[in-house]
Amino acid sequence: MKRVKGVNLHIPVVHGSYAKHLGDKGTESRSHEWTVYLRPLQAADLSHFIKHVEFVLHESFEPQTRRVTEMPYEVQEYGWGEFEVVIRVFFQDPSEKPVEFFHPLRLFETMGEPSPDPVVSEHYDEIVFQDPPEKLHSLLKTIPHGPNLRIKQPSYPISNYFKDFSGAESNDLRKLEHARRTLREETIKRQAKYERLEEERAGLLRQISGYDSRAS
Amino acid sequence: MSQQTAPATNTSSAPPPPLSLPAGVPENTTNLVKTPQTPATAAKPPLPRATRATPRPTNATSSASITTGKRSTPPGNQPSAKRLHNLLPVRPLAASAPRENAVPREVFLLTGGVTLAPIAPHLPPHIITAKPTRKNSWVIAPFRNSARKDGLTFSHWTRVGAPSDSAFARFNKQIKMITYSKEEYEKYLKNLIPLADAPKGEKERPNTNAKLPKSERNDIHNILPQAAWTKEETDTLFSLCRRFDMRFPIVHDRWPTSLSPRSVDELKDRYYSVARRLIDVRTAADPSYVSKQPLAIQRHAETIIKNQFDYEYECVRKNQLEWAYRRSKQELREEEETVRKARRIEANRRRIHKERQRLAKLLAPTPEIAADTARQTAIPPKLFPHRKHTTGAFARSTMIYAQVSNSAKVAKRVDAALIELGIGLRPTPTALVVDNFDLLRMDILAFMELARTVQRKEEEVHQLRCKLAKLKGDPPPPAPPGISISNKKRKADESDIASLFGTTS
Repeated sequence: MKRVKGVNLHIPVVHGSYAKHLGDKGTESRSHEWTVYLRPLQAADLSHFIKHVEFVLHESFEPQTRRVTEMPYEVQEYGWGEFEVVIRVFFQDPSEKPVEFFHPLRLFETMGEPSPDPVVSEHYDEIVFQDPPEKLHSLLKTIPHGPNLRIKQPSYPISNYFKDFSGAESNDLRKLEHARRTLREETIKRQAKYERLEEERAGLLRQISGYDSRAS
Repeated sequence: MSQQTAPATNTSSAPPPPLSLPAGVPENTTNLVKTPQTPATAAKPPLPRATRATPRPTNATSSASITTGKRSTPPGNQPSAKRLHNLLPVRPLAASAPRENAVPREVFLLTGGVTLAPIAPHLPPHIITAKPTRKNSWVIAPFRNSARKDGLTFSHWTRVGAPSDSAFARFNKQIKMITYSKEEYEKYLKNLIPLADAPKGEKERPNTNAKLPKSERNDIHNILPQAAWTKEETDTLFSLCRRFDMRFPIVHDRWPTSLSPRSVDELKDRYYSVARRLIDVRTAADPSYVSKQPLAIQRHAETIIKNQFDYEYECVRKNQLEWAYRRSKQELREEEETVRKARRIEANRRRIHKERQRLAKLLAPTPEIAADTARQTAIPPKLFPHRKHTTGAFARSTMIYAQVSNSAKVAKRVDAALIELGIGLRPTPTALVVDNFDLLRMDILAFMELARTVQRKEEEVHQLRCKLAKLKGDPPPPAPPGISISNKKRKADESDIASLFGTTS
């Protein structure tokens, strides 16, 4: 296997889940119908470089590991509790090791009563390829994408609920910058305090030594 | 001994001793010869063992048994057997009624009548008397030792056809030395200055007391000035060196008293400076001089040129060794204590230096944060020591999950600070956000350290304030918020306050 040195590519993806309360139709152990999925951020054919995706569910599910070989990469199940789903992505080039995402499955709104709307929880992430193998590199360069591409989206018609991540990055950066400024001010304050204390200490030491010499 | 007793078998009338004499058992032969015990005394009923034991002479050796063996004692009189039985827990044989293969009663009881095999092996007579079959190839032959110059001849036993030179002659190794002729001596060596007095500057000497005036330094280190060397002395030195293979302590020992006394180092110094001078002079005349010499001399010359003998250094070294050897236990203890102290001071100094560096880093003016963080890219990866930069595929979010510190406690506090700052633990994992997130986390770490340092300083200042207040007789100042004092100190302070309240109320 030969790697293309110095190349850093990343594919933005979203792993998410949506869940619907079944109400009267459900039972105690099957109160919700939920789907966990991995989708491209924008329309793109991920199967071009992804061989299959494994979803590792809670150990109470049988079988625990579900393998999906075609888009959309999703698993639909019934359950009553939230847990963390491990999403393992295997590439067309077997020499590249699989990448894991951890998706916290959400069934319940953080607050309020269950609503007829599904509970959607989406997380942005990126698959980063540092020095990808040559074969994978060529695949990554030729991913079919664009608005005209017809690819299967997660089966449930929830595209309306897809989270918009366009402003997320700049928003986070703004927040981070603000936090760093706050911290910097605080640091300068502490530094000033240190200087002050240092001065006071020197003065106190002088006075004490004065007393000592007088005493002796 | 077993073989020595063996000839007894030749005198067939005498039975073999029932038990061979253990080695080292004293046996008085003189007593045996001069006053043979009569059968009557021997036949006496045995006394209790303790009293029966006659005083045994101590000067007799075990070789006495040879006499016993060779002397063909009459069968009726067996004093040796009698004596033996005195020593062994065995009833003596009745001397008046000698019996072939008689077994003592006690032995009989023990062995059930099976005759004891004699411990001494009985060699068949034909082996003992056999003549060497091979023809005698040893002759007395004269030999010489080629190491001797006088050609003295000795004779020795040797095999026929052995070389006439002594086998030890090959050990007579003659040392190969650099020698000088009379002319050379007159020309180059007569006015050769001893190395110790040679002008300085040509070579740096590892002398610690270089600043001291020379005489004083020499006094301290016991460096004695060398008297000028005469030709007679030099000749003696070289001949002694040859004779004793340049073992200078021996040369020193054999140094004739008629000459002025020289120390071992002086001898060495003279020899090496002469040899060096000779090599220098001869190499100057003929550059291939050294390579023409035999291998031993070549090596010797190389060593002499490479490592100069340093008389002064040698004196200092030996002096120091002598001094170190003569230290008393107390001095040794003191020295160890000093070393320990020095080590402690050094460690302290290093610690303070490290602390200062750390502080300087903490108190360094914080750089202005770039207004447009979105443009800030290409952050050197070494900023984040906690992250492994590997090749391959990974999820960007793992960079966010990577702990900023190895200590779980610290990592937890950093997480708490992130939440407090409104960032949360899971920002959108793009390359830029991850980089800035890491920068922020490093900032948080630095800030936490600074805060801790400030707090420590505050504690210190507070303690000083208390101390000063005590000196002044003032009430101790209140502790600033968040400052903890050691328990003992706190108790003392509380008692002070209590007494204060007591006097005021």
